Formats: sequence, C-alpha cells, structure tokens
Amino acid sequence: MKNSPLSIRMTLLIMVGMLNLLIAVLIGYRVYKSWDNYQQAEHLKQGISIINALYTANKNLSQARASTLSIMYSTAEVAEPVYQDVLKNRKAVDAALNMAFEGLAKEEIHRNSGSLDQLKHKYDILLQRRAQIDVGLNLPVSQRSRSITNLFFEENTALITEIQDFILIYSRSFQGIDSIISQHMVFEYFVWDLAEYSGEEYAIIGQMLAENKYPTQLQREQLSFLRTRIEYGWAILRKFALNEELAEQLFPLMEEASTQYFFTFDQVSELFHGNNPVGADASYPISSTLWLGMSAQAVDSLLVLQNEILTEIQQRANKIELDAKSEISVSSVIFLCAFAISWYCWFIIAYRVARPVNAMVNALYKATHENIFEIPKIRYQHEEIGKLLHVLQVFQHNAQKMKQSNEELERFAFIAAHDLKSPLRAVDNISEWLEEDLEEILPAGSKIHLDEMRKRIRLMDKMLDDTLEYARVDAKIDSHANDIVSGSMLITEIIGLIDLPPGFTIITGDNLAKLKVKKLPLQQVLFNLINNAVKHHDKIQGTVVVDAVENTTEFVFSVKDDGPGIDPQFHQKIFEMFQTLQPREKSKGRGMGLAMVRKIIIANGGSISLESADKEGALFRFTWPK
Amino acid sequence: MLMLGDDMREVVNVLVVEDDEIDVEALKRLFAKRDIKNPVYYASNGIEALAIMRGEKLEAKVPKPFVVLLDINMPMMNGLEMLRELRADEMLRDTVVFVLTTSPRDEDKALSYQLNVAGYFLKKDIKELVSLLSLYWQLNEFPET
Repeated sequence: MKNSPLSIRMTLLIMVGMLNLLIAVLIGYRVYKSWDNYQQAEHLKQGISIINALYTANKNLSQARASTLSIMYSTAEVAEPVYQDVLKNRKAVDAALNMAFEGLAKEEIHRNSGSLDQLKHKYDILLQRRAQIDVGLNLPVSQRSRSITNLFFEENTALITEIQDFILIYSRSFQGIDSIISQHMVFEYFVWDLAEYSGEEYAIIGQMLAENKYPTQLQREQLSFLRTRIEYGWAILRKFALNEELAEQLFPLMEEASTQYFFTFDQVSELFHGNNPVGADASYPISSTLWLGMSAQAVDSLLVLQNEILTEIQQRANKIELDAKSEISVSSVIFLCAFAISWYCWFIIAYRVARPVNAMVNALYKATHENIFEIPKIRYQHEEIGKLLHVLQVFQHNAQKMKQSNEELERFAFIAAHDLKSPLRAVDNISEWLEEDLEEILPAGSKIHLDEMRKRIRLMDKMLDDTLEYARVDAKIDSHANDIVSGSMLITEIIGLIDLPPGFTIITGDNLAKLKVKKLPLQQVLFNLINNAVKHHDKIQGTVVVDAVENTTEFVFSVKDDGPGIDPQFHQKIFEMFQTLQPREKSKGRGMGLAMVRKIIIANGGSISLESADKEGALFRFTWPK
Repeated sequence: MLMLGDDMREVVNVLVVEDDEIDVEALKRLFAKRDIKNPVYYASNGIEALAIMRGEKLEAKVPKPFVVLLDINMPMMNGLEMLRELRADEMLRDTVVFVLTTSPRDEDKALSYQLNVAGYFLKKDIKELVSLLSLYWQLNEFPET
C-alpha cells in the first residue's frame, strides 16, 4: 500500500469509502426498522397489559354477578361472608378497569373511542345499579326488588360482553405485529367466551339454589341455551387448539377445565332436567354458598388455561422487544464502524490529498498573481504530495529569484539612466557656457563642433529616457487606471496625437470600432505601431488600416500599412532596443518604438508577429488578453 | 526688467541646497543673466542648509522671508530628509521650498508634496524655472516677519 502509486491508493480509498457508506446507509435503515419494531413491541406490551386488565375486570365482574345473584335471595347470615367477596370483586373490577382506561388514554385510540365510550357508559350504569343492590340488601329478603336483581344481571352481563367486544376490536390492532400472538389472542378470547357462558350458567343456578326454587320456564330456556353455547364453545376450542403452537401444553389444561366444568354441572343436572314443577319451591341438596365455591373453581380452571396463554403472549412480546433491542445495538455498532471507516477514508482523501493540493494551488496562485511566495505547511511529505511540494518549492524559489533579478535589473537600468544624466547635463551646461564665454573668439568650425556635440548630448539624454521607460514597463503594467473606451475612440485619440501629414489616411475597421477595451497601455502600443507606419512611409500618400477580431480569451489587433515593407531578415531585429534600419543620423527614430511595443505586449501576456516582404507594406498583428 | 523698490517689498532671500557644483554654477549664471540681485546663499547638503537657516553657522542666519531651492540626491542628508526635519521645526515649518532635482520618480514627487513643497521641478527645465522665480518673488506676498 505504501509503495503503490497515489492514484491507486486514492481509488481504493474512494471505493472502500463508498462501500462503507453504502453499508452504513443499509444498516442505518435496519436500525430504523429495528427501532420501529422495538416501539411496536413496547406498544404490544402495553396493549397486552390493557387486555389483561380487561380480562381481570371481566373475571371479577363474572364472579360478582354470580355472588350478587345468590345473596339477593339469601338471608343475612348466609349472605354476609359472600358479600365480603363481592366487595373484593368490585374493588378488583374498579382497579382493573381504571388501569385499562389509563393505559388506553395514553394511546391513539381514535378507532376504539366509540366502543370505549360505550364501555364506560355501561360501567357507569353498573355502578349505579350496584348502589341499588346495596340498598336492597338492607331489606328483608321478601321485600327486595326482583326486577332490580334481574336488571343487575342483564347490565352486568352486558358490560362483560361489551368488554369482550372491545378486547376483540382492540386486539386487532396487534395483528400486524406478530401473527402467533394474534392467534394466541384469539384463543384466549375463545377461552374467555367459554368462561363467560359458564359464569352466566353458574350465576343462574346459584340464584335458584339461593331461592330454593325450581327453574322457571325462562330460566330453563336460558340454561338450555347456555348449555348449547358451552358445548359448542368447547368443540371450537378443541379444534382451534389443534392448530395452536401450544397444543401440547394446552390440552391437559383444557381436559382439566372441561372435566371440572362437566363434573360441577353433573352435580346438579338432575335437579334441572327432572320433571320438576316449573318455578315451584324446592329443596336442593347443596347450599348456594357451596355451589358458588364449586363453580368458581370450575371457572378458575378455565382461567388457568387463559393465564397460560397470556404468559406465553407476554413472553413472546418480551422476546420481540429483546430481539429488537439487540438488533438495534448490533446494527448500531456495525453502522458506527462502517461510518467511521467511511469517514476515515474521506478524511484521508480530504486531509492528505485534497487539502495539500488546494494549499499548493493557492500558493501557486499567490506566487503568480500577487507575487507572494509562501510554502504551504504540509505533513506526510514522503508521499507523492510531498514530491509535488518539493517541486513547488523549487518553482517558488526560481520564480522568486527571477522576480528579484528582474527587479534588480529594473533598478539597475533606472539608476544607470538617472545617474548618467547628471554628468551629461553638466557637459551640456559647460559646452553652452564655453560657447557663451568664448563667443567673440571662437572659430566658426569650433562653433559647429560644439553644436554637434550638444546634438549628441541631447540624443544620449533621450536614449537614457527611453532606457528608463523600457525598464519600467513591467512595474507600470498594473498601475494603469483602467478607463474603458470604444475602439473608434481609441484610434481617434491616437490620430490626434500623431502629426499626420496630408495624404495619409488611417482607417478603423468596423470590428475594432465597436470593441470596448481598457485604454492603457493598449493606446501606447497602437500609437507606436501607427506612428511607425506613418513615420517610415516612403511615399507622399499612404493608408494605415487598424482592425481587431475578438475570440473567447483575447483580442487580435492588426495594423497594416502600404509603406516600404520590411525585409524578412530584419523581422527579429526591429523588435530589439535601439535598432534602426538606417544609420542613426539619418533615421527618423531612435529604434525604441517597436522594442517598447513588444515589451508592453509580452508584459500583458500577449505576443506580436510581423508579416511583410520587402517593398510590400507591413502587417503587424498582436494578441491582447481580455 | 521690472523690479519693485525695496521700500515697497522686502527682499526675498534665496537658499540653494545643491551638491553638484556645475548645477550651482548654472544657477549662478542664470541669476546673473536674468539680473536677479536677491541675496543667494548656498549649502551643499541638508545638514549645512539647516544650520544656515537656524543661524548655527557662523556666517549669518538667512533673514526671512526666504525661498529654498532644494535638490533631492545629496550626500549626508538628502533633500527629503531635510524637508522632514524642516517641517518638524517650529521656526522653519512655513518655509517655501521648491524641489529642483533630476529625479522624475513618482515616489519622490508624492513624498515631496506630502511635505508641502511649493513646486517640483526637473533640472532640465532649470532655465524656465529661474525666469518663473524671478517673477514669483516679485509678485508673491509673504507675511511680515
């Protein structure tokens, strides 16, 4: 890995980074799903405890119903201990229902709110009826209202049925969470159904025992209806249990419960199915209290069965919750690992490649655009990035050196030109004084010589000025105020500066006329080229055509004349300093114009070329970055 | 040439601060040519010039009002250094100074004007400067000393 090329390492890092990011995303989704499962399990557990409370309420309602029915027809001595049980049952009902209501209040129960309200309403009715029952109990047996007792029985039964219906509706909301749990719940429901019918039956029988009366016709019908329901219920339960996961566990309990039930019933069956006179006084062999005890046991055996299932449901719900929890923790660890690896890869790429490259690009930009030479601080220099940094250092060093030597050269040229001018001026002054002081006696020849001497002095002075200006081109390049002018305006101003002889025309191309350009130092370049074309023209009449084309990055200017042209062998030489194609005394210029033009163009990032054959005019073309 | 009487105007003294003897000679000749009779004092560097102005030099203190013609490139103390000291001096800060130099550098010009010079002239234009001055100190109003 260390010695493989950077590009391969980066590719690997990017791939590993991407892969881990993908893993992190997938696992992240799983965490999200597990969290959802966990919350559903929590919801399920809460629901189970509510259902459990409701069943508890029902169980106690059922017991209270049977007991109340019995004591309403019993004397105070018989009733008293049973009444204590009734009170306990009532307390249990109230506690269980309140718990269920509290639990339901925390849930979103829009779907169940209708049936819940109905349930609460029926509970309220029962509470009122309870009070009436208690008032009645204070009266002698014969004065107690039979209709109130009957209403109590009906309303109690109605509440139990309502609760049962509510459980059925409520448990549907857990169907999507776990199919086995919903199956268990249905089974539990059937068991309760059976327990309720049995409870009703026992209650009616209990009443008859307490009253010491044979059943009325209505009671017979009720009992026979219930018996049918119970037998049918057992058949369903057995069938359903076959499909239950818990069949093995449940069957013994079911057998126990069914034996209990039928045994209990058999104790008294003779009494109801014999040819007893309807509703007549009777004398039963067992007391109502004993019967209540026996029947409660029978119902309890069913409730044991129900509890078994409930425990199973709770365990299953706990397992779902636990699974979700461990899934969350395992997935979270994997997610964090994948994310950390991915992050590490990006970090390596960003910190060890992207950032150093960026730093070096910035350093290069500063070096080339702002003349600031800084070496960025970069660690891990043993890698390719380190080599790049080394190259950058070499480049920076060279660029700095070059800049320094350029500056030195410029300073040298400036000082040389400037300091050379002082003695020159002194010579000029002295020659002038000589001429003044010796005016009377100076021979004519010497006077001419003094004049010639001063001409040379002035030429040298100008050449020194030229050198100075040439040396300062680079320094001045950024200092120009950038007026934006049109091409036609630019050329008009230049024509104003040139002493244009009659017979000469300067034509501005349509393209150039429309352009918008920065005035300086472009004007100086064009001025020199146009001025050169006019100055060195060999005829009385002449035309100079100036034009430009624009492309995406630069302008290409052209200056074309119909003058004497330039021999190709001099095409390089004319751009050098102080180069003229005629002896200096005869030349119309000092050979600085084109040198300046080229230097300015190059300093601005452009280039210049010349197309010309001898005697055919000349075409200068130069590029000028936008 | 036009000269106003001494009774009407105070005579303006001139202090030339210049190290180049030829330039001094040139000035002397030009003053003679223009028939300028104002008292002229000469110093060859900034230190000497300041000493003259402050009267520390035995000869004499240049009486006010006076105009200084100041070269920039000089040994010991150059013109700009001298200007800085001049402007910091309570007694001399109002002195009228014309720079007369060979330096066309923008930096020198900017610095000179920051130090409140009355003008900046190049030595190649020395003749024109002298004609300008001959009129200048005839027409210019100085405060009473």
